[in-house]
Amino acid sequence: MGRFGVSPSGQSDAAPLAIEGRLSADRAAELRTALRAHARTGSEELVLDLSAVTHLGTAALAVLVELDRELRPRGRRLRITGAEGSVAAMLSAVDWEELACRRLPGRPPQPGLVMQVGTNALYLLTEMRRLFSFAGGLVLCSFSCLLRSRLRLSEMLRFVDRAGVDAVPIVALSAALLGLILGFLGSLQLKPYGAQLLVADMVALAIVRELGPVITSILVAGRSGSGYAAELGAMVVDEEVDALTTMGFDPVEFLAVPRVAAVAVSMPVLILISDLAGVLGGLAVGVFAMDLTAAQYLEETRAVLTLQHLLVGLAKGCVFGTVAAAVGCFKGLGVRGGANAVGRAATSAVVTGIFLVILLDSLFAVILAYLPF
Amino acid sequence: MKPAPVLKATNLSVGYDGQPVLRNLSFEVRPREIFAILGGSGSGKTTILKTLIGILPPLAGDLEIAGVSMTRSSPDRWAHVSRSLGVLFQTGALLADLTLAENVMLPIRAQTELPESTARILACLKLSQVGLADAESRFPNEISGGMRKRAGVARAMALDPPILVLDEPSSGLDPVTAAELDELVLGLRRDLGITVLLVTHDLASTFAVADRCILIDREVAGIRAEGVPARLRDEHPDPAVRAFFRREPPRPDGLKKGGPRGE
Repeated sequence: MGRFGVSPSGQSDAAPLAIEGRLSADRAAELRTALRAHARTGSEELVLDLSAVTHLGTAALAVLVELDRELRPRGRRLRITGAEGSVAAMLSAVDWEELACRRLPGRPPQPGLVMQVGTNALYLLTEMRRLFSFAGGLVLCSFSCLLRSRLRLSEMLRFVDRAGVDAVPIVALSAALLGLILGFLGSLQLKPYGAQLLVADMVALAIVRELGPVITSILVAGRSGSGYAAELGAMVVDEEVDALTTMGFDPVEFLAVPRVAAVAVSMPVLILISDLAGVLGGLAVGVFAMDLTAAQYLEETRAVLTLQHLLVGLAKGCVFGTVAAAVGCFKGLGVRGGANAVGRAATSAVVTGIFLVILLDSLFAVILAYLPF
Repeated sequence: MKPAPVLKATNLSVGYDGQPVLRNLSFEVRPREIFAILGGSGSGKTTILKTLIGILPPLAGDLEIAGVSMTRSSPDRWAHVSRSLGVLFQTGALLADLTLAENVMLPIRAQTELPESTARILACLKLSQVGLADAESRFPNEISGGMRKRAGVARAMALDPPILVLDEPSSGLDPVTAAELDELVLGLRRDLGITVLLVTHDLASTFAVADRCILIDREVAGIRAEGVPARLRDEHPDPAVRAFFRREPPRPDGLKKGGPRGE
């Protein structure tokens, strides 16, 4: 680092502070501490003698500028003497008067609360309009692809593998654990009444009608929805989507339709797997914690479950999963900006996807309450 | 007496996973010099750059920066020295969520104990040096490509590095903006006496700013020519070298482009 020192060159307060050595960036913090200790008191003018300074780095120069800015409001001034060669050149390159009164750079001011609420409301409205417009386009495009046999089947199967087959282990495990939890909770409540067998009814209905489709859709939103948003967002940033458009492809048809269709096709199978895994989770509790036999449990499950329940669950799950995948594509294709915008799109896809799944589930609950299912 | 080099490579071999891309590179960059590393696409320029800035370990040979030898110093000391280089990456590599001033403050925060108030003044000084005094509070996505490069230079120079390393500074810029950046580099050298290592394939920039250069070539897996750019173009005995500097298409015995393994 080299030699460095700050010392008064006389007894009086007005005596210059002699600085010596190499004032490089790694010495700047030390220089700042030393100068501030000497500058606390003293005469109107703080004189720095830099005749023994061999090098003045920009960091050390910033320390001197800061000291000057601090002294001026107190009616004091900084005067530098003895600088030569490159040190003098560094000092003269700075407009001290301008820097002394300059406002230091900060973040641009945040808009006020009203402005923020208004901006966010406007953004939400625009985003909803774009989402509905995208959804409409996607539906039309999907039908058009089906009617004209333009669905890219091989591409779609690749996405079925990624969104469907690869999701089987996590979907099955999550549903099985959910079945276990429900079984345990149910057994605690029903055992005192000797109604353990009803645990099978509770688990089967809850999993097949409600929790199976919801948990599967949430997992699809987390896996495929965010994946699609990131993948398509990166394509937008790399101008691949623009390239497709200029070649005459519709990005929605070329990129979004196979992905969403793959999820739509995979969802029924994933939901059936989650139903099965959930019932097996409940069965494990029934057999190991409630002294039921597997046959008793399965017979009770078979008795309570009807095809209607199964179809309701499947229909709900298909809608939820498709919406989650479509939201992922929508967020991805809507990316504007750079890499951070891709990250934001992926996060937004998961949050919006899960929210819509819950919102749609509530709508289904209300609608089904008025229908004979 | 010739001044001691700021950067010196001795029989340096660079590459990936033990496979050398370029071998036996020996060159030195002198103080206040603008030194260019030239080569076609895929010739290994970026591999050298990554090795020089400490991202990629060299396979053999020695590297010396500001008198500190890589092989004769501790890993910590060497890491400190490599980190002290100021690097302008191809895209500017500014963090999008930070203002220009905050971007410039990053190395100050990482490598010094200066408080934020001093760091802000230092960022102001550096942005003024590159002509961005009025854009301190703006975000990278609010400014042009040329301004992003300038801000990248300000960040690279935040702590007065011994060498300013510029990776393809003119890439993605129109000729006028690229020429302005060349002027900036020359101005910084004139005013601040900085040493610049330029990694590029832009011949216009090289002729405009570089004092000396090396031309690397994948065919010889090393340096094919070294010297003053204009002299290499006009006087070098190797026709392939002259052709490269005249932007003439390669002949069968000419400079070869590299394989798929990075530049």
